[in-house]
Amino acid sequence: MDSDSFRRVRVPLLLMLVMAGVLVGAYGYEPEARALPVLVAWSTIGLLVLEILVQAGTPVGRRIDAALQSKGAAPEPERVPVSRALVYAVGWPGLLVAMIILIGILPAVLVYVFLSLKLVGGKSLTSALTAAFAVTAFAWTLFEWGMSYQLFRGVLMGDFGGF
Amino acid sequence: MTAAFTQAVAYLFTFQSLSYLALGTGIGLLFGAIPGLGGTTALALLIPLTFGMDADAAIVLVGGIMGGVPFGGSLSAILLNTPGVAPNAATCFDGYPLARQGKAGMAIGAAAASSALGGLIGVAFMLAVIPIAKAVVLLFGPPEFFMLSLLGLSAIAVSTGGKLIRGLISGGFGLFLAFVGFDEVGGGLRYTAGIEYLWDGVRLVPVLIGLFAIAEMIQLLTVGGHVATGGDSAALSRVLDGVKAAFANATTVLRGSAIGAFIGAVPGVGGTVASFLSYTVARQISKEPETFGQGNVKGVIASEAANNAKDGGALIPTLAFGIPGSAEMAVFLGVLVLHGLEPGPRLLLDHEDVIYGLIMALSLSCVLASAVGLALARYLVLITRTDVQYLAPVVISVALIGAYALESSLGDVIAAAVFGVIGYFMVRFDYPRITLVIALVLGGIAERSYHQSLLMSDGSHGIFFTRPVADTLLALIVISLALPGLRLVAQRRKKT
Repeated sequence: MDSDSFRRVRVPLLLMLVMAGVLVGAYGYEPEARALPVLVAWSTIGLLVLEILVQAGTPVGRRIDAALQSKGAAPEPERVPVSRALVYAVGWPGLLVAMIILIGILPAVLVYVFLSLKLVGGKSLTSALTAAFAVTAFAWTLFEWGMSYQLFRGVLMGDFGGF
Repeated sequence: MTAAFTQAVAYLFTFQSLSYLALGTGIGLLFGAIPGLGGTTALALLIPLTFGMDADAAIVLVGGIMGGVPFGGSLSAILLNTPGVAPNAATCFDGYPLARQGKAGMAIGAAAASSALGGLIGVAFMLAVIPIAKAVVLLFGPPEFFMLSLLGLSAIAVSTGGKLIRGLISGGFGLFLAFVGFDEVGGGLRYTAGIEYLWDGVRLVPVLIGLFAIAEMIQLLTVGGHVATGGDSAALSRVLDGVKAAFANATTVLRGSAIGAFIGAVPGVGGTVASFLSYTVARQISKEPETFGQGNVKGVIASEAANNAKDGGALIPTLAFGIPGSAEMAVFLGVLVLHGLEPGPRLLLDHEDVIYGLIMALSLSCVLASAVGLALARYLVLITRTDVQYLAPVVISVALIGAYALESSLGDVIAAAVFGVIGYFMVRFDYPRITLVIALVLGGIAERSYHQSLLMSDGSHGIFFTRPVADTLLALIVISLALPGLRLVAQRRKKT
């Protein structure tokens, strides 16, 4: 298998590992509780094997592809570098969630929107601050004032109610 | 009956009632459009406000909310790929691609018209079916529910157009997610990894918020620009084109409404199943199934008609038997009881005027919500022209607040964020999100019905094949799975 083929099969391989974990876990449950999970796990593993055959470009895979009128192998991931994608996909939402837990929803939203607009969007200080305050004010008006709904205050403020 | 109807009409067309209706519709639109809130939250929050009202006024207000929520949800689904409420998820599949093509106005127009028509048809269905409602609802037992779930799941196989294997793999993971939590049959916990939040299972709304709203915003942030990449989405003509498209596809509207009203009437299945089923049926019988998911306006029409018609259907078991078909209907039941209206067969006899008032309020609010949507469409579509650097942090923040507001749970916030990451990588590696969602919705129903059926039959699987309604559903499953193959054979014959 060349490096290109390996790159295409790495996702189904990873998913197969996850589904194998599901299967192993299922066999730890009572027969009734595992009936459908076992069926689903084996079926999904079977499908992942087919996907690997298709993605690796094997003769069998090509036949399956043709029979299913598939659009062919999954397109190469877009050219956004993995590091950049990880920062956007994991870094920023992760930062927001961490701030929500620590300092509460409203301050977290204020800081997140400001930082995102300033650091990622490259907006001016005034624009970033205005947008951040506007979103925070909207959330406060709708939830806290309009609906008398207390948003999470953050563990640093002694609020452990959201857990 | 005529006297009660006339009384309801006379009451509804007073300044006070119309004001309550408009207020309810406005609240419904707002709560529908903000992910995570929805009709259940709106009704629950407004129960205290109805304490001082008489029953008729409270019912009109509630009818307005129930009519406004589905269309509000479709606005965020179309403009931001964010289903305001779970049943709007199917609207994303073609509504958002239309917005990306600069045809958001058209999608909103189509959604508005099909919502109004679907709502009216759903109410008409309710009026027609009430006399025979009990017999229809009783036809559905666990084996039929199981077959109904399989019908939805079988649609997975053919709804992914060219990504069959990856679609099924996503479906497998969706089913796995549905198994997480407390096992109703064995009484134990499965796949919770010691996390208390997962005891109740993986909640649908945080998953939807993550997979669609957050994932889409992450995707847009990585490439920059705007939601709309072409066209003139703000043009009024586009909005009218959408309205015309709904009327031009009257069959799709009627079929979607029938599916919505019927599924809505079956307790425990819900609007999400109705809109997905309507969407997949429209796709399967289309001559251009490959255009679904790419911005086919029929996809918007099918899901929105079903989504709005379901409320009319769901009122049947709620009013006639006191069995709420959904969480929203359960809260609505609470409003009825609060005002001294005991649901059940007697309600239809003793408070006919109230029932007609509700039916008319629901119908009018569907039309009113659509009219408001149409009036605002050209301004709303400007969202698709907003710089994504502004849009993304705002949408992600509001989406996570909405996730928290569901149950005041940080677990929901974390779940939405985690599924946002999963959703982004599903888009990046071309694994369909739709099949994961369908499987998550149907997995619990399928497993519960499967075990209940086996309990009924002392473990014999024959129960699934010996009941007329279950057999009919089985036939529909076979037909739905065979359709793509039959279409392929037909195409080959045409070529030769």
